[in-house]
Amino acid sequence: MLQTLEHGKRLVLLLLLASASVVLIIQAVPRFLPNPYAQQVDQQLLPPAQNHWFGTDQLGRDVAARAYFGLLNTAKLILLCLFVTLLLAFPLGFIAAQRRSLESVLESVAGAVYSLPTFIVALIVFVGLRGQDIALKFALLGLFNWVPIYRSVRDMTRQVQTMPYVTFARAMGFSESKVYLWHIFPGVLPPVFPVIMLNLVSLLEAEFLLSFLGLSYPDPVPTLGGLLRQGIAYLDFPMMVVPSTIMGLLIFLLLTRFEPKLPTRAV
Amino acid sequence: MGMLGKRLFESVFSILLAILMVTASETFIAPDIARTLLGTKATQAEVDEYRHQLGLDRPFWQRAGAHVLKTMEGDFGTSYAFRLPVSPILVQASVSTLALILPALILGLGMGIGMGTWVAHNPCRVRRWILRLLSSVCLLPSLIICTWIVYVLGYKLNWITPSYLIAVGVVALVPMAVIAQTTYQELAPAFDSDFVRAQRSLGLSESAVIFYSLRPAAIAVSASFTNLVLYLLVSTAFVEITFNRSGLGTLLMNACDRVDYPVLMAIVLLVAITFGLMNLVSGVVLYVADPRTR
Repeated sequence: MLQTLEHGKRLVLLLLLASASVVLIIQAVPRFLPNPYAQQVDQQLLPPAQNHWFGTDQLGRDVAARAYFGLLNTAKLILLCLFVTLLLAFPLGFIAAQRRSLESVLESVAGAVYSLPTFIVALIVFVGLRGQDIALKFALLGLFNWVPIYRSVRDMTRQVQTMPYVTFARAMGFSESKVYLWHIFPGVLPPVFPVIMLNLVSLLEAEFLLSFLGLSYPDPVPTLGGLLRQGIAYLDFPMMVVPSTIMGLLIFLLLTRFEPKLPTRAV
Repeated sequence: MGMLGKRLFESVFSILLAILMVTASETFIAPDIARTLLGTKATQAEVDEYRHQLGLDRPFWQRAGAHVLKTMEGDFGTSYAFRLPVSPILVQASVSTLALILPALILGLGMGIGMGTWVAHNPCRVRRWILRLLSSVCLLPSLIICTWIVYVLGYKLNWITPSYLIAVGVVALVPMAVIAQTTYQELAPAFDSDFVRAQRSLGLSESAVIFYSLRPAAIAVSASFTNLVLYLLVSTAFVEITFNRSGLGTLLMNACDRVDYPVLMAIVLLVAITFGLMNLVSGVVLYVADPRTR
């Protein structure tokens, strides 16, 4: 189990490195792309060419830039949502592992919340809060998405708590918060990580479908779903293929990497 | 009884939760609804009067209670866009969605069980790998798969004409993948177990051995059925939109475009209720079929 602890700390380090490199890429790529908002009325629906890699849309905006910034917008929104989810799921999981009485209450609530698919909850939230800030709606969506992560955090915490290194840390007189932060959390993270990633897949899908239905950012802001919808409306080939391929590849990679045991969860 | 009671509580609670959320979101959108319906020329007094007519100015709990009662009667109000009662529209759309889902479920069930059994019975690395790859592809959002089939293979390359049969095939991908995986995971250890060895040494034919091993696998397949149907309700919506068929999905998209609030909320409640009831039914089925849950 000490190996798992080391594994957990390594995972945290890897995640930090990965996010640092992602930030670097995000800083570097826009230098090579035109402005996604710049309209050129004389260059509508152009095919792919040297200066527009994937052509232009119905207002003469660069499709490659719109797809890239759309992907960034998607990432921003679902990471916000996931952040809220994790803030809820980890403490609840720790508490439920500690107290049996609270666990049964939490489990009933979790069962009911889990019965509503993310996409349906999203529809209620997004239509109800029409006109409000999109980020706020995604943060709200995070309040309904915590169940699978909470369940696996609870089960893993139960296992990790009996490990000798946790007993040792407690015997050394570390405070409870330190034990949870430096010993239990790194031990729990590696087995829970695939569940988090699958949660991310369902969020990716939900965001894509919502922006396709026009419930995410409104038109001038680029979104992948919005790009696809306009592509279908104008039957423009790159505008359909680019967003669906980016999204498809992303989800496919995540699914094959973190293969779900029973992939039966609705979006 | 514990498991059945828990299922009942979960179903009722999730339906109530959906109704509460719908009422809450109605509260937020209420000022918009009357304004949208009357247009920009109406005075504030007229808007207030219309809101009163629609019952949107009543307190939260009254409206939530009214929603619960009306939902039990099957009355979802009047569509703002069509100016018609929602329930008949919903029934019509559900029928054409079911015409897509039911054949797809049967097709997916047959192919999934066949594939899972075949890979479990003749295990080899390549077949396992193909099964895994296939299920990852099938679980991509239906919107993406449909875009490729309808617009790339159909419209651009002219290889196929999008038709009802192809739509059914696309919808069947998800049940096929899920059931193939489930069947494989249940059967693979069974074929190595003592009771299969005993059956073989008794001289039972191979098909009889497979049949007897499939029976315990049926429990796992039926347990995953509820989530499967729910997944299908969402994914079928986008198959309908891209294949340009009428149904719940097309209704949903039009309602989103026109902010047809009653229709949207009726669809949401329909899905929540369907899932709640299916959760309950599958609980009863498991309780009867699987002694371990008692």
